[in-house]
Amino acid sequence: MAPTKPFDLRIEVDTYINRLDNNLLLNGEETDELRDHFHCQVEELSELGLSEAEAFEVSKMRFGERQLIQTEFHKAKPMKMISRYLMVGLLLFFSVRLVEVVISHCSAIMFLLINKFNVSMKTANVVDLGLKASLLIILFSCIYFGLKRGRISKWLLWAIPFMSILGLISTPMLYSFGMRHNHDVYISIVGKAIMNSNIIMLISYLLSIGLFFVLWHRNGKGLRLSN
Amino acid sequence: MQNYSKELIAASTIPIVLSILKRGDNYGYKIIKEVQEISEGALNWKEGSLYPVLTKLEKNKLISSYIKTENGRNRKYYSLNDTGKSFLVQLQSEWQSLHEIMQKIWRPQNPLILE
Repeated sequence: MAPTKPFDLRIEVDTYINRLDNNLLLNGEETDELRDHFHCQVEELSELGLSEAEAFEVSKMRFGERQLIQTEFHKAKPMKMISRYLMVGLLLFFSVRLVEVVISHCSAIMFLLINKFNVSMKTANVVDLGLKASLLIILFSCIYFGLKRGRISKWLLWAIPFMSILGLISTPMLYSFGMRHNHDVYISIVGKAIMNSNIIMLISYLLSIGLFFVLWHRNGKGLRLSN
Repeated sequence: MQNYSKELIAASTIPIVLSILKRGDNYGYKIIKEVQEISEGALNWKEGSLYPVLTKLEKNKLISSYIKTENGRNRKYYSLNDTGKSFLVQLQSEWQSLHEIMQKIWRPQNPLILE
């Protein structure tokens, strides 16, 4: 039989508060205040003969329904909620731009395969589609597992907009690279690459919508960020 | 024991919290305990709902806060400021007036006096 994990009040209280504050509305003083509340109550109930685990269960019940408290905090801090939605919206916008830019850059591989390695157009097309699909799978796996763990690193807030802007600036270079080729061949390759990109972008949008709804229901409408 | 409606509890929370703080600086858990003691357990708040109220009152500059370390923990104390005191006077007058109206409405009607 597996040994039972000893009850650690500090960890349990912190976990409960983290779940309560899944929109990061609370500042340090407020989380300290909630921590103090639970510790005070557990101390009081323990004096009456309850174990720490039992006392904490009673405290949670007395504290009230989590979603109700979250709603009350949202009402108390409307501006913070708006700025959080704005931040998530901007993050999503730049993420989609980044996917578009990365997919555009993948098309350069198609030029290289045809021009440098004399690969046939059909093979290059399959490689291009496969590469873009793999990229999409990797990207969505990263996002899905990151969100499933309930955390997205704060550095992504800076990295995603930075990378997407950098990508947008460098996209014209990709086209000037293609222009060095025979015009008809260039148009044909670009046509295939754009078609592949459109297929991937369509799947990407559908996946984003699906992912958003899954997380919306699973995570209680919250997006948690870590340091 | 008297069971109060959710709406009445919600409406009375702010005047109650301000009144408790008028007695002296206090912290969240102690405010809940004092309310339970004064009401002899009749006013049983969902304890977590007090904290958003305190946040709101502080944001509206009716109360102010400071941190004190006690038992190795940071404890957030609240105090009623001058704006809060004037607001409480206004609330007391409103509740008093409402109470008087209710008393008049509920008083058994006097028999008609025929002149």
